[in-house]
Amino acid sequence: MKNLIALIILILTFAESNAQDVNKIVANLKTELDKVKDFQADLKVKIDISYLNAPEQVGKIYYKAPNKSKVDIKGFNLLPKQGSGNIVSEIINDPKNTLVYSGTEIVNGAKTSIIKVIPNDQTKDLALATLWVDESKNVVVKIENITKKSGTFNISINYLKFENKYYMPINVLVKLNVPEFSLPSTITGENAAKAAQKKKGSNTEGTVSFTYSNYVINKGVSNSIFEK
Amino acid sequence: MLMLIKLELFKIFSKWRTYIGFISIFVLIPLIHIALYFEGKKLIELGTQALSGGFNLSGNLLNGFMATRIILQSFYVHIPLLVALVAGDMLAGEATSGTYRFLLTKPISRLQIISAKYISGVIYVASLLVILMILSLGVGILIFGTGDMIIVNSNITILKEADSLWRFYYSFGYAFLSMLVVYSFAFMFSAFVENSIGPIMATMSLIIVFSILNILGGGVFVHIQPFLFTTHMQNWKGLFDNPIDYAEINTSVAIMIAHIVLLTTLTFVYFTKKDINS
Repeated sequence: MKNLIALIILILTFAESNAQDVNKIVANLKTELDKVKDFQADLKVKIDISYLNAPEQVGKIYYKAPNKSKVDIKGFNLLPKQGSGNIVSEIINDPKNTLVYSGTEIVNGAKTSIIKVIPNDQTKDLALATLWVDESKNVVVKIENITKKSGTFNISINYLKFENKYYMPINVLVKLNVPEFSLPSTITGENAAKAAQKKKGSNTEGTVSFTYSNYVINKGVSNSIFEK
Repeated sequence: MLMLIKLELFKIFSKWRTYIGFISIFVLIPLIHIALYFEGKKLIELGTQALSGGFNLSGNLLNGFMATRIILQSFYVHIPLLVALVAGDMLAGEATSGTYRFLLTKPISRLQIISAKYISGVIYVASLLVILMILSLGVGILIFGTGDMIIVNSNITILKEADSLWRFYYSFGYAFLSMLVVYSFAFMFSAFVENSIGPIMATMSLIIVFSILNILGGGVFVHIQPFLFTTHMQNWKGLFDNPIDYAEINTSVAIMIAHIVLLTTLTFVYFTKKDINS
């Protein structure tokens, strides 16, 4: 009986400590995020999928706290469903998500804390998310999002400190699963031999690279930009 | 010579069958535009459904460039018939109507006569393609506007708007060369016989058989395909690859020019030595 009580006390203590860890990490993350009220930056998006040949997309990204963001690319846009918006803010600010501390791991030479995110809102596509938080900078350097409909997204984020205050992403790499693509040459009207030659394989993993530059931070972004 | 060409053009354009091609283009292109207006988005969704799970797609992909490429792809099967309809009649028609001997009694060389006929036919082919280009590209852009272009075949290619228009100019130039190969076949068959139905049917049969062999994959067909002129006719699609395989395009252009030169030379030689009995 004594052992059982000791075990319960141990679990409760651990759970309490876990909650404190997560709350502290998330609070620090929010503090860092809250420093940026708005920003705009130049954006380049490069997609690498075996069967897709798309030019680099060039445009601008705008953000205004708490939740307005817009990617403005002239012409056709092809952006991954995860990774192009302010995904960290969306995850940690959703009160319906349960956050669980899950240990530490070294990512790109930096010690990170792992936080599992369990969404309690069944209507959302997100099934489970994992965040790797670099506590020395209070930024999320890696995200794994498992979705119900769109597969798994692995997101790696590199930051640079601007104006000695703000850690902003300069490169975001999204790895995602894409289904195979195949149309028979009898439909496309293509020469069969040439079609077989052009088909580079059936690799179902794709990557999307976002490169941000020329940040303008906390200088004001008009609301009208988000209404267009 | 110029007068002869004018006379031949007058002959071509005084026949009803000549206008079948123009009427077809004037009727079919607006129909394709209407179909795309209502169903174009579904077509794009079908082509990009592999990406729709992980990506958000936005922007105007249903535009004049996409419409023109679809039209060009559809008409590559049908324009040869319109070309053969006129070309198959150019020499055989003279035999059918019994005007060969009358024509050849004029103080003009056979070479001049056949050259004038050939050139006037080439003008007809060019006019057909110019009308096709104006209607498909011009009207397509008027209706759907411009934008980045999506090409769905064995891969999905997206081309920037600024990188699209020039490809159509080259494509129509390529189409002109392709149709001249068809024209040269029909013109040659027309020289051999005395009834215009034969050359038209022979040309179309050749294109249909070769086109089917062209899309059959595997086995012996793959080895045959490089030797079929239809394979090279279809290589206009390579102009919408990114990057363009210029070596392949140039090879196909050279092979088509070789076809035209060979077939035309054969026709000219045959016609200048032909016994005219009708």
